[in-house]
Amino acid sequence: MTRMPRNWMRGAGPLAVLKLLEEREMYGYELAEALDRQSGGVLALGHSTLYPLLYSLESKGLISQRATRVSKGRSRKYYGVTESGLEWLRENEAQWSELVSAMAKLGFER
Amino acid sequence: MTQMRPGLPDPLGRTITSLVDASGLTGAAARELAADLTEYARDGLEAGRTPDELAARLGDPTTVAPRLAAARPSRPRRPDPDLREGAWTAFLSDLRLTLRSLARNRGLTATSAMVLGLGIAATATAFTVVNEAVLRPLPVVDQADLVDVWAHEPGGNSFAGFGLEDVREYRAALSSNGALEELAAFAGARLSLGEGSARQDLVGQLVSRDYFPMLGVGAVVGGTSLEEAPELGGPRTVVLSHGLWEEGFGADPEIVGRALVLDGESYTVIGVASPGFRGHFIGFPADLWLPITAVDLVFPGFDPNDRARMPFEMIGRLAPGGTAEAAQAQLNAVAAALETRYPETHQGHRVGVSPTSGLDHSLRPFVLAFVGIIAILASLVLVIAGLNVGSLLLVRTLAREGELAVRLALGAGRGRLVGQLLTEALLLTTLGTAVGLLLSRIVAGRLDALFRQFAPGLGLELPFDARVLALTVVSAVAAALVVGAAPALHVVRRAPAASLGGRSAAAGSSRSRSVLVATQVAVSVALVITTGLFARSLRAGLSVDPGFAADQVASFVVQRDEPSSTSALEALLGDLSELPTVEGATVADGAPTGVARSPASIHIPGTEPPPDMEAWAIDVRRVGADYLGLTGVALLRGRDFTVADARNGPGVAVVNQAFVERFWPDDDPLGRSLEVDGDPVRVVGVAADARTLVQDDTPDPFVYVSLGGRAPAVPVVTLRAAAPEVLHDDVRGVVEVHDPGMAPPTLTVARETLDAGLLAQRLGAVVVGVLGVVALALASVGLFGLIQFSVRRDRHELAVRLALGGRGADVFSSVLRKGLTLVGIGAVAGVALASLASPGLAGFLVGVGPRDPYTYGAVVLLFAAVAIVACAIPARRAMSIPPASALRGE
Repeated sequence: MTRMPRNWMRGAGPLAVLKLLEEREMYGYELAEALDRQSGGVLALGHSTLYPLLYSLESKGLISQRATRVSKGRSRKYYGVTESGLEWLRENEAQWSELVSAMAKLGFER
Repeated sequence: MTQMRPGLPDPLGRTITSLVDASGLTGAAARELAADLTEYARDGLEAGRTPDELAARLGDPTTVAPRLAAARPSRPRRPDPDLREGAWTAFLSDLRLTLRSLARNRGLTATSAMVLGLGIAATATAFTVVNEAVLRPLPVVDQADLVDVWAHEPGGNSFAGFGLEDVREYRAALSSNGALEELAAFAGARLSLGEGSARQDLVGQLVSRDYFPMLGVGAVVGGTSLEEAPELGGPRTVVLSHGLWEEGFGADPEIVGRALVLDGESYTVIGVASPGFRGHFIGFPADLWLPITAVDLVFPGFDPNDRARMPFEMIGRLAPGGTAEAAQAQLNAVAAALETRYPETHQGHRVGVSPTSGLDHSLRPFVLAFVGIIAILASLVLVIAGLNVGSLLLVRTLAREGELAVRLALGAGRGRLVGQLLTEALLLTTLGTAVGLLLSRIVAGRLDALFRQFAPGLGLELPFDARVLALTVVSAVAAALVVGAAPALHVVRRAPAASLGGRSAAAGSSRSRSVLVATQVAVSVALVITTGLFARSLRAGLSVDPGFAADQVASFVVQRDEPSSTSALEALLGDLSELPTVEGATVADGAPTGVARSPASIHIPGTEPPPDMEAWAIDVRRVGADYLGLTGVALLRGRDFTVADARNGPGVAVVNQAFVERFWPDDDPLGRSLEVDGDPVRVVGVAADARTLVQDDTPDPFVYVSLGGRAPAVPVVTLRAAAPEVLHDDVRGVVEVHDPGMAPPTLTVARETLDAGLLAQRLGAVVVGVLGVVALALASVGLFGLIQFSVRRDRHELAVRLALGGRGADVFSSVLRKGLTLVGIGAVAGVALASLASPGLAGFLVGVGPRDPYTYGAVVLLFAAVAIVACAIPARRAMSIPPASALRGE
């Protein structure tokens, strides 16, 4: 498992988070696990990175949060993608695909 | 900064705190991370993970995520489905967790299964007896329409029966519009199959031709048509039971037409009854059936015209709409007519009709009460076993106090925790049930063997059917509730904060456990008192002086086709007296003791019989010379019978003490006259009371009458020897020389007959004895465990006492005192319980009252002794606690 350079994560991180949240709502720690697991450990965002990222995305209106009551005295804060977030995701996904294609023409494997 | 997480156990709380600290997050982010991690931890605890496992996993997210993801379906833009599972999934989760836990604690699991197995075995066995005696339908068609028809005489003699001609008249009286549509007759018989060394003693029944068709019992081979000849003798046919056919004849398919030798006579097999049918009486399994006209085989010299011979009973089927009461009225009309025609033999005879239950109508209440008592006692053993295991589980629950408290603090429902504890109790009880059912089958087999040993000719079939299984399952579930109640209540009542405090849990749990143990002791004391009463009753019954030499006196029936002459009998007696060790032999018209009455009509001048009777009905025995001396009946006044009395008249009689006290309390009985069945006799002696009737505790008036030259219709030879039980072959040899055609005699020692009458006491003593021993053992183990536990729990305090100069002996005595106090409380409760319930046993006790102080006192002392031993071992350990190591917490 290779740790990505920080500047690369800066770009990939939000994209990955929004992609996962597009599937379903998740709470913070769950999202961290999913990133780690589904990316094979490559996109393992530490807690110190993920939570501020979530707040940032929220402040930009790309995601929203919702407290859900799990049982008596217990609740969880779930994050889900907004319409703006979905729009942002489409744009950036397309750009990501262009980038990957361009790199592939230079000889990088997909 | 590392801070302890309130509400989470170490090391879980520390791990979470470390993670939050290490993240570098502060403020809301840190709080959110902490909340997420805490929620994750709660979910894990609820799902059964231990704090250590969770702490390890928190450091490794990749192992957690797949499980979390798998627990939720992927649904976009919808809240994550709740991690809380439904009730069924929760149960399965609890089951998995419990199975793992029980597998880890093999010692506890095995002990609990064995203890519960003992309890379940006791109840399952009791249920098979209850099922057989009360619940299981007889293997007949439409049992609800069948009725037992029995005769009773004045004086309540319930062993009266019907004569052969009586049966024919009763059956002839059935009409098309009566309450009864069918009536069959039967009589029991002991027969021997085969000859010489291959001889086998069997139980048979003489039955009328409509017996099998009326009961709806068919044949697997051949048929069941036992035709009755107009005269005695007739076709010598026999129907075999399925069991006899299988075991005795290898299920020979060619059995029909085969000849068998029964009591020296040849019989032809005409069929084999369907499996499971052994007659319609519980406890009297018949091996074969003969036609009713073969009665002369069973009762040699039987004269059908002798109206006094009444060996038969009847069973009938009600007509549609008929009732037992109407049938009884219908039959009593016939009984009244018979009384008018035969006043000497049918005086006061009446008919009783009751629904067929498989039990003799007079024995049924007794049997039901006996079986009920056994079932209750067996259930008590299960209760004790349940309390025992419940106590073990309570200790285990305490050991998991911290974990359970955390789960309660984190919001886990008490219901979920109680559910897990009850699942554990149910699982242990299921294991115990499997063990118990296996044990029960073994015990049931032993019970049947015991029954046959105590009462030859009787047998208990104790099949394990769906009813017994259902009852056992119900009792097992009840046991599971008893087992799980204590730990569950403990959880429900605990406040989470108090548990987290640590030791405060111990006080409440110790009380709970003390209550459990005291309850076990109370129930065990009550049970063991019952055991003691039965044991003393049996001892009293066995040691009651029968009033004659029961161990030295034996008798056999002379079975000839023609009546024996007096001279032939005298010759036989003479030869028997010549046998080594035989002191003498005489003859009578019955055995020295038995279960059947032998009343005669007696006129006693100067007295008036009861208003509805013409004469007194008093038991009489017609006897030969030296009868009283040979049988060992003490002569209080006058003389014994002589050879002259036996050979010719005038008739003389010897009355017993009870007779004198009843009729001539203030007069000299010698020389007084009586009329016995119309014959005048003179009283020449007074004999001590003897137990001529097995079931009689108090002696009734009895009259011995001389033979006066008339040999009895069915002579019974009575002889006395030092050890009559070894004389079987010698006696047979003498009889064979005198009359080779005579059926081989069966010599019965009087003591065997008396002991067979104590069947209930003997069986009760054994069964209740076993239950009592099991209860005592379980209660002792429970007490030992509790004292052991409290010594361990109080180690610290005891160590402090010893370290501060306390004496070991003081520690010893304080521990002992604690245990004995608990036993004392339990014993008092147990004595009170026994005292309240034991009057119900009065009908089964002989020679001892239900509140016999010696029995109660002995049981209390026994428990005190057991308690001292059970407490002494842990007490001794307590006084040798090394103070230093205890104070260090090792």
